[in-house]
Formats: sequence, C-alpha cells, structure tokens
Amino acid sequence: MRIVVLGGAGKMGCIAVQALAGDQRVSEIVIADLNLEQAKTVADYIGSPKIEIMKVDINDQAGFVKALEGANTCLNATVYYTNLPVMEACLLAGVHYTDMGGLFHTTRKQLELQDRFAEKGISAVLGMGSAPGVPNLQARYAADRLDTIQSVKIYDGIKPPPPDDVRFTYAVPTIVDELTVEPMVFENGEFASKPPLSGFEDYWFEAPLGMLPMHLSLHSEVATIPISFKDKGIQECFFKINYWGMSQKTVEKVRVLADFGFDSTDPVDVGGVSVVPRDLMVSMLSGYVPPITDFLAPPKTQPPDWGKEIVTEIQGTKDGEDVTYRLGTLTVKGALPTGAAPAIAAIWLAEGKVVPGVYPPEVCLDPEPFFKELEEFGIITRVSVTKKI
Amino acid sequence: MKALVLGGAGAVCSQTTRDLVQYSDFDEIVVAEYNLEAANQLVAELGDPRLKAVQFDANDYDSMLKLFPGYDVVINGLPWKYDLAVTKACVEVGVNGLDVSTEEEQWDYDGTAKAKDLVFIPGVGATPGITNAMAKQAADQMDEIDDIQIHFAAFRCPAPAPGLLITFLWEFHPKTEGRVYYENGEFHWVGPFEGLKDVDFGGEIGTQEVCYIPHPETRTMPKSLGAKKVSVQGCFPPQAMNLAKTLLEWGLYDEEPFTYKDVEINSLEMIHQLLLRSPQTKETPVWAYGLVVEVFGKKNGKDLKIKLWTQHPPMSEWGGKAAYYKNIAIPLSIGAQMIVRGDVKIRGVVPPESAIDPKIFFEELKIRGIEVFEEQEWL
Repeated sequence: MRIVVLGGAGKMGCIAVQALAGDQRVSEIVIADLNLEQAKTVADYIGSPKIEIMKVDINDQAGFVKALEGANTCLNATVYYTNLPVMEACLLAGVHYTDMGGLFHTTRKQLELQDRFAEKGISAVLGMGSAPGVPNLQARYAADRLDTIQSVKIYDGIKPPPPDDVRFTYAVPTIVDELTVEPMVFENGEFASKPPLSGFEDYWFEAPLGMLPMHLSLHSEVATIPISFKDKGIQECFFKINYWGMSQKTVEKVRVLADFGFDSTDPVDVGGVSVVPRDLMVSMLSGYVPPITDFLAPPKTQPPDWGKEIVTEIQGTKDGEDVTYRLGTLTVKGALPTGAAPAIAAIWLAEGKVVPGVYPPEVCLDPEPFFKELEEFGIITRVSVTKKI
Repeated sequence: MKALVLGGAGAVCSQTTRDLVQYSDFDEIVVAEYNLEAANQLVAELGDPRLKAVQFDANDYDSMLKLFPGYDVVINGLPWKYDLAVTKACVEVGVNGLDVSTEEEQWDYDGTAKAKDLVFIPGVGATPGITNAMAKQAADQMDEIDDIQIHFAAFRCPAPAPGLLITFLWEFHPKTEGRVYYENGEFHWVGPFEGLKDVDFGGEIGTQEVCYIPHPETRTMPKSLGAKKVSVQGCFPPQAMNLAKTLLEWGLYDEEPFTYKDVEINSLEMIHQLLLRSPQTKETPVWAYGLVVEVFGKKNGKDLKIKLWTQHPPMSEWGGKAAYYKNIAIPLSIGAQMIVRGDVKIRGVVPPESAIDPKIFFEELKIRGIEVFEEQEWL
C-alpha cells in the first residue's frame, strides 16, 4: 500500500506520516512537499525505511499527477485552498483522496465532484482530521441509534496555553481565515452566518480541561451534517472551539492586525512590489510557529492528563423518548488525531472500504471500528446517554 | 499684513486656513501647497478675496527662500520632517513663523532669530501648544514648580494623513530616543507603553489609559518654567493603542532588512506602507482631542495643585474629523495672529510657554468653542 502525503513535511502532515509509518498495512509513504529540507527533518526524526521524499509543486499539475502514479491514496495535508486542484489531480491519476477539511465553503464545492469520482471508480473522504473528522463520526454513531435528530452541537475543547504564550497551533493562513471569516451555523432548519468570535458559552470538558469559553468558528462539519441527517429532521448544528487552542491574547492580536486591513486580499504596491496584505501578515507571523519536531515529539503528559476533548452532543428521540448522546474523544496530544484520523481514512480508502464517490465522513465510514483504530494511538472515545428513567 | 500658510489645504492645516478667513485681519492669506488643485479648491470654496493659492514644494529649500520674503508670518502646517528647514528659511529670510511640532535642532536658530528681531514658535498646536499655555497658566500662580503632568488623548485614526501615521508609529517605536520624562535634573528614558495610568478626559473620550509619549513639552519646561519634574503621557483611541501594542509584541517594529519578492525591505517599512494604504486605518468611531494638565507646586510655602483641562464641541457639531483637527489647527491660527498683532513680545526661537500669554490665547480659543477650565486644590 502506497500513500502520498501532500504537505507531509508540514505541521499536521508530519503526524499523518508518523501514523502511517507505524501501521503494518502501509508499505510505502511519500512525503510530497515543496520544502525538501523540512521533509528531510521529518523523515530523519521518524526514521522509517518506508518513507521517501518527493519535491512536488501542485501548481505543476503534470508533475504532480506523475508523483501520484502508483499510489493508492493521496492524503492532502496542505491548506484547504488546494483541495479542489488536488482532487482534480487525483481524478487524472486515479488515486483515492482524503483531506483535513475545507472550512465549510470549499467542502461544498468539493462535494460537487461526486459524479466524476464515482465515474472514475475512486473515492474521496472530505474533512477527516480531528475536527472535522472525529465529530462527524461521533454524530454518525448517535444517528445510527436515534429515530430523529433535533440538534448536533460540536465542542472542540483544547487545553489553553499560558496567557502570554504567543504561538500558532496549526496552519497560520487557516487560523487567519477562521478569525476573520463569518462562521456558518444551521439553526431552525436553515443555514445562517454569524459574526467571527461570537456565540460564546461555557462548556464543561473532562478533567483536567474543565470549563472552557467556547465560541463559533467556521468549520466543515456544519456544511455536511445537516444534509447527511436531513431525513432525521435535524434543526440545529454548530461548531464551537476555545480560541483554536491558542491563548486569547494571541487571537486578539491577530484580530487587531486584521481589523486594520492586514487580512485584505487586494494587492497593494509597496516600493514597486505587489504585496497581498494577508500573505504578508501570514509570512510575518510564521516565525511564531514552533519547530516541526515539536509536532512529532511524544506527548508531554500521560492519560488522564488530557490535552483535548472533542465533544459532540446529539439530541434526538428513540421510540418517542428524548435521548441525548454525548461522545467525547480524548487525547493527551492535541495535534495527534489531526494526523492519525486521516491516516486511518487513507488506509481504509486504499483497502476499498469506501464506495466510489465524494463523501463526508459521517456518510461513508463506520464509526465503531474507526474509534477502535484511534484507540491504538491513545485516542479514547467515550459515550454517555442521557434519558428519562 | 500678509500670512503664508504652508500645507494650508492639508487635513489639519485647511482648518487653520478656515480659521484665518473667519477670524483674522490679514490683508492677504496665501495657501502654499504641493497639491495646487486642493489649494485652489479650498480657495474657491471659501470665496474670500484675501485668499490666494500658490504651488510650493517643501523639499526645495531654495524655493522657500524665494517665497517667504514679504510675509509677516509663515504658518507651517507641513509634516514635522519639514520643521527644521522651514525654521532655518524663516530665520535666514527674516520672517516670523510657527509650526505644530518641535525638532530639537530648531533651538539652534534662537540666537540668529533674536539678532534679526524675529520670533519663531515651534509647537503651537494642541500638544505641544495648548498644553504649554495651560502649564504656563498654572506656573504663573506658583512660586515653585514641582511637577508638571501633561496628559492627552488624540482621538483620531492611525493614518488620517501620511505625516500623522509616521508620528503614530514613531511614538511607540521601541528605539525612539525622545521618549523621556524629566526628574531631578535629568532626562530618564522609558520604553513604549510604560507609565500606564487612567485619566478622565470627559466628553466623548471619557477615561482612557495613557502611557509616556515622546513630546517636546518634557524637553522645554524644565528650563522655561523651572519645573523639577515634567512628563507627557498620552493615548490614541483604544483600537489604535491595540494596533501599536500588537506591532510591538509581534516584533514588527524590526528594521533588519529582509528580502520579500526579490526586494530588500524591512518589517517596519512594510507595515508603514500597508497601514498607509489600508482603508481601515483612515476611520475611527470618535474624533476628538482631550487635554488634561496637572501642575503641582508651592505658593507662599503651601503645596498647591492646579488642574486645567479643555472641552470642545463634539463631532456632531464640529463635523466629524474636524473635531480632532481643529484642536491643532485653531491654536496655530491664533498663534500667528498673536505674533502679528504684537501679543508676542519675546524674540528668538522660543517654546509656546515662553512666547504666548495664556490669558489672551484662552480667550481666543473660547471664541472658537475650545474652553479651558481650571481647578485649584491646596494639598
């Protein structure tokens, strides 16, 4: 089994490479990246003979398609704007596809490729990181056990860093988007947009996380779950997170720059150079991303000192009675599921477990065996059911 | 009597031109502008026969020497980088003048200005400017001056005009040398966002957190008023303060060159250029100027505190941004009129507190809606 991890030298991609390297079903892993130096750092750190490195520029479609040849699955671990062109390349190469999310709007466009993937006989699982990904399967678990669904509420609780810790936990461009783009929610049976950083509520997570301030964020679970469970009458769906795992101060500072025009995508002329303010902001802030080996290092704590709990609360009815499912997926290392979950999906795709076409995880993956596989990484999923005595 | 208004159609100084038209007795008011079209438009709009527009490039020193002779006063409303050149030209030509900020080197022309029997007053705006007159007003009522604390709230956006963006960035630059307070015979350097405290400015500004800002009052008042301690603490609107704080904390004031798209540039320059072009740096919810001066001293051996503060009409009355600009522009106009009327007796290059009689100045401000209030407290 040969799996190409596009952006495999990146912050989330390297964890996927690490997860694949430790899996017996996988024989070859390609770190396909523009940054060869970092790819080598990642490969050296993991130290697996299965890993090879390829310099790939997705803007060179012919070269990229060639790099995909012979692979079973392409795991796209780059930023979400590349999702559509990468899927096009997978169509040309005849390779299965999975990614870590499309920030709602891109996911919608990706789903339009359903017929072309089905015709080609290849499959795509969209949004299969920790979130989106895990919450979709948590929702599916409950949906399989409910007659109707009223609401699906997703809470991604991350242990906050110290207040003065100015560091970015994942892709800076995505963080900038999540901060400045309006989140989408599904309420009263309709999609609606809300202001960025709104809808605050306190939510209790498993100790030691405790109560965290949660706010809305644009996420692709909300793009697909209301459609996937439409037949069960779903009326409400949202995704909330606590400052994307960063300190509130860091988030506020990015917001300040954005408020003064640094999130603009209209190029301006600076001393004869055309500069996109948003690109410049991303480039200036990228110095605050921890070194890549930090992402590959073993967890600093052991269970039950959890670093993250991804919770989905599904309210609905069974045999006419109100029932609430609460599924919580726990990990000591926040970034671990983001790499492990797509690695499992990539393997399942290669094994032919997903019928041809383009699907969100809740439609095409069986939750229980998936959670079992996550357990091998120390990622534990628990369920509690609330109903009348 | 003839007045020459440099940059007289600009964001701030067009309000000076308007004030001169409305209140002054000048026979001729000439607006000297690089942007002649803007000057012509202003002249046409105001429709006063005393007004005239001329083309002027402040980068061309010789053109100043040709233009200045024959005027009774040169009113410099240009960005601060031209202060020194304009002062030098005024002294060389033998014309009185004034401006709205201060460069240390301007004092070097004091001797020559005195010898030529002319006066040049740097810093006749809001702060420096009104604040100097406020401090002088308090100092005149005391035998000893222990501590002058000047506070301002400049409620404007970060980049209303190119010069004002440079001022904003410079005031919080970690390496700005002029950010000092004076105590015990020495100037003490402080970093950006040091000396934080809350000050109530009243009106639409309310209570704001201020910090040390590099301002000329700190440099001039130990000598001119014999103060033992002098400090200037100020603020911009909260959003702008957050911007400055963020730039500092991310290290974006860095001036180490780096290559971006094959062009060598540095972070500060890039930030400056982007802020200059961003539409969001041109707006702010409230435009206003708050000034509060507290002077501590002794009168007849007893400890006395005199507090002065200003109030001006709100945005709704003064027309949006003008509620900020007029606080700088009106003092400049009044100062020019006081020079020409003979209200300024001193000669040389002198700070406002030495040149301007606060009583006359405050009366003139009051006519235009800027009121100065005073409160005394025996400690």
